[in-house]
Amino acid sequence: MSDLLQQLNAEMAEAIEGARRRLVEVHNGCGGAGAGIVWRHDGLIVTNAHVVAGRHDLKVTLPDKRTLPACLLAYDNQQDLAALAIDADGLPTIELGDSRSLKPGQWVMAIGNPWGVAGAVTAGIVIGEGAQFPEMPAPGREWVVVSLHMRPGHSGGPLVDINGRVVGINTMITGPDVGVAVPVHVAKRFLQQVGLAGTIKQREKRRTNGTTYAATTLWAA
Amino acid sequence: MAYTMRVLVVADDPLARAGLATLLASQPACAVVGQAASDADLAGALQVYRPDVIVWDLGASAAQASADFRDMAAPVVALLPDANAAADAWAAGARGLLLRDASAESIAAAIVSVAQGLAVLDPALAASVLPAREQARRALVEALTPRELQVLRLMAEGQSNKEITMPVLTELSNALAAAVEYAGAGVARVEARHRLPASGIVWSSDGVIVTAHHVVEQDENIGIGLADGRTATAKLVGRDPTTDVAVLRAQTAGLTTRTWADLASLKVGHLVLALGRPEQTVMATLGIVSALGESWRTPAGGNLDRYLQTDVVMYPGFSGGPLIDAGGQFIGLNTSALLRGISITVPVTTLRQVVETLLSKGRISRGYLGVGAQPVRLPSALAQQLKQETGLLLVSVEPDGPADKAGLLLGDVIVALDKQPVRHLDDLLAALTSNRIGASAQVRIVRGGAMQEIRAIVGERA
Repeated sequence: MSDLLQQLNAEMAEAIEGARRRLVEVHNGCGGAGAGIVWRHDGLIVTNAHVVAGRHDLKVTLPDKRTLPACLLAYDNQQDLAALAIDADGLPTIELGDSRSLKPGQWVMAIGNPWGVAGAVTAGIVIGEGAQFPEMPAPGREWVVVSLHMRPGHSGGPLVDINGRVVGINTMITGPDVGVAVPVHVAKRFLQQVGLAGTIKQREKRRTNGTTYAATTLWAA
Repeated sequence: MAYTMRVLVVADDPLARAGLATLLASQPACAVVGQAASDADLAGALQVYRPDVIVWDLGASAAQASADFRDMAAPVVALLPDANAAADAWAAGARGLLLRDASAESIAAAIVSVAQGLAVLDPALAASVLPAREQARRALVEALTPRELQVLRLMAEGQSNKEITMPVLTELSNALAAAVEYAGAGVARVEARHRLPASGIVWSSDGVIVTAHHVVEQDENIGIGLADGRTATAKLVGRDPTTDVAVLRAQTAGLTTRTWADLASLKVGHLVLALGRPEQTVMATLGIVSALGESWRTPAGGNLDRYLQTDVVMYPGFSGGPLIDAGGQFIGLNTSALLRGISITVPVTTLRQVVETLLSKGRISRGYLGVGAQPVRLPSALAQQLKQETGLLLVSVEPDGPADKAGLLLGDVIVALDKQPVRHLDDLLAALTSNRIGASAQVRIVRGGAMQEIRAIVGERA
């Protein structure tokens, strides 16, 4: 193998390693496990709404193998986004990239837990970014459409650029080789809409400790 | 990336040790987890403190670079009194080399870089580490991975750490995006069917657009969308279903065209991109050349000068768009209709022939017998004699067609045309090339169990 390909391999492994350390498993209590992203060091986790849909018995497994109960803070089925809190602090957080500047042809990688394989990676390129896609559900919504082998367990995990910065939340596939992600700027907007742009309030975090975190203050769109 | 590096400080002078620890404590990226003298039980200290990086002060006099840093459980950033000690410290396996008077920020930056597997060299020391002595240079180069070498080279060129982190991946990603942007200017949207639009290649600046036959369902009022946002109306010039190519002419000029690649240099394994423009913006998928063969007859009876199969994903609306190489040059026209589920590219040479014929004549002429036929198994005696298992049973003969005029009858079985065996429909289609039109062909048939030769004048398919 040429030096160039060896170096390419080394760099891809390096780019993915950082993002992998910020990937969590989200267990929804019915045997399913999606992926999630450590968004902030204080325990804010972002994933897909469909990963946590209708479940109260949520648990999050951190990269260090700790499994903690999680509280659903907010979700939006339309945008397929959800925010969870776990009682942890000092977590390594993922760096946010710029989803608006993605260009077709650019290299990206998706990480998740397909078929229970933690941190499995698939790589490919951006097909396109924006709201104009043929044969897509919910016309007018913004997407990052990528050419790689995304699978159901990738849901909620990060789509990262070559520097390991998250540019999208893996959400669905429209074919065996076409993955679709919610752009990271849409996820940022979602967190602002539901008032989670700052730090998580102590009250909300405390609810994650016990079992009584009934969804009383749950924000839903 | 809020990850704090665990640092072990090693220095023989207690004052220097304490000073260094205080200095590093001011850096958010570093947490000093322990301090030790170089003659202490370092292996024990490493087990207790589990540092990510060791910062090793070699002291005011450089005499003591005797330790082998390679054996350490963590990479070593060495602080040197002067450039004279650099080559020895490097040879001993230090992954970072800085002068003792380096600022806290640069030591912290070196710690983070070294922890990520990069080698860090103070520019003032680089000259000593990349020494004039050829032998030492070679030993050094052999000790480095290709990646470390490139990082060193880039640092010497004064590039920032960000660019150095992923040089090849960054270059690859940028090159792919640039190829798409460049070639995308010559890719048009083609609205010629009820469902979603497809793509086309701008063939000439005066309005010729080439697309896939199967995406063109109307001959007039075909909508064209160009890369610069302009739209135009186009008419069908002609189509060739056998190679799935259609030529359109748009009522506009001054179109952007792109260049065509030389297929001779294309190899299996090369990176290629499929482009499409089903909407306003250009879209792309990546793959490699999966198979590259000699000429290939399509199931519909067309002939491609090369068989070019790729694993690019044909996203909805990509048919009729180009396959491009890593340099952004067009290789051919992609279609998903020639072979089910497989991306086939009509290569540039065939595409040129078909397009030029369609532009001059409006159609591709093909030979024609005027028969409907299906393959049948031959009786075993006949099969042995002819050395072929099947022939073509005529199930219809068009009245006044070339076959009818020659006296071919329903129930005849064609087994050869001009001595070329005819086993399947493909064989017959391939034999009826345009140069046979108007010529006499010797048709060998089986009629009533006996072989017979009949001469027929090949007609031209309308």
